[in-house]
Amino acid sequence: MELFTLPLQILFFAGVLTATGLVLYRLIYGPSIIDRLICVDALVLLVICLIAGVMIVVDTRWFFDAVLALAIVGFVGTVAFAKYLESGGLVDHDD
Amino acid sequence: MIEILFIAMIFLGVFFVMTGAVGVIRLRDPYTRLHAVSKGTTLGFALIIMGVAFLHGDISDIFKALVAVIFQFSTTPIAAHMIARLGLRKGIVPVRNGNGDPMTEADKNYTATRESGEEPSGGAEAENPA
Repeated sequence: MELFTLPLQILFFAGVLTATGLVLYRLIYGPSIIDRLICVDALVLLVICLIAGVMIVVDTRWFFDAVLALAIVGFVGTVAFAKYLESGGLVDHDD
Repeated sequence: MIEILFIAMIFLGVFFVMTGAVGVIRLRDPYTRLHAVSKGTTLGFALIIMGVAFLHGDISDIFKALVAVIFQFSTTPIAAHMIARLGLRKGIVPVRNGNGDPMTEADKNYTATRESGEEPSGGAEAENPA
């Protein structure tokens, strides 16, 4: 892309990778289990943003399927893990 | 030169993503950190993905990115709700006072009555004539 020049690409990756580093810090040193779950949920979104950056750099448009799949898998993973930590299983036994 | 508008959209998204990450580091409470992630990072994600789709893709890629963004906007509240409910059932106490202090006495009494299984004695409900 002729308009998205190299300094702009460096700025994009610096911003998104700085955000990823801050989230990874909270993922490692987070005091509670909720912080780690929040950070896993945020890391999926940041990985999708990095995939968007790769699409800009290599000038392709074939990665939108990966974006869609990662969005779905991230949501299902977060909900399943929260449900597992809450009740010890994925299915409620209310009866 | 409408590409400049799309590039500005992408960098606005980078700004929102970094705002969410700084909120994850700086805020004091797991629930406020959840608030920062589920609003700031999601908005930044939507701006970045739609900017890249407008910049690079044809019409099918724009619709694919639109499906991803709509899916994310509709499922992030559900995930945040599940995480917050997990925190409340694990007994993580939210910080309610805005001054950096821990909770006020009324909040401690409220949490104590909730943990002991009783209904909190609310004065407003007792004064209700209905």
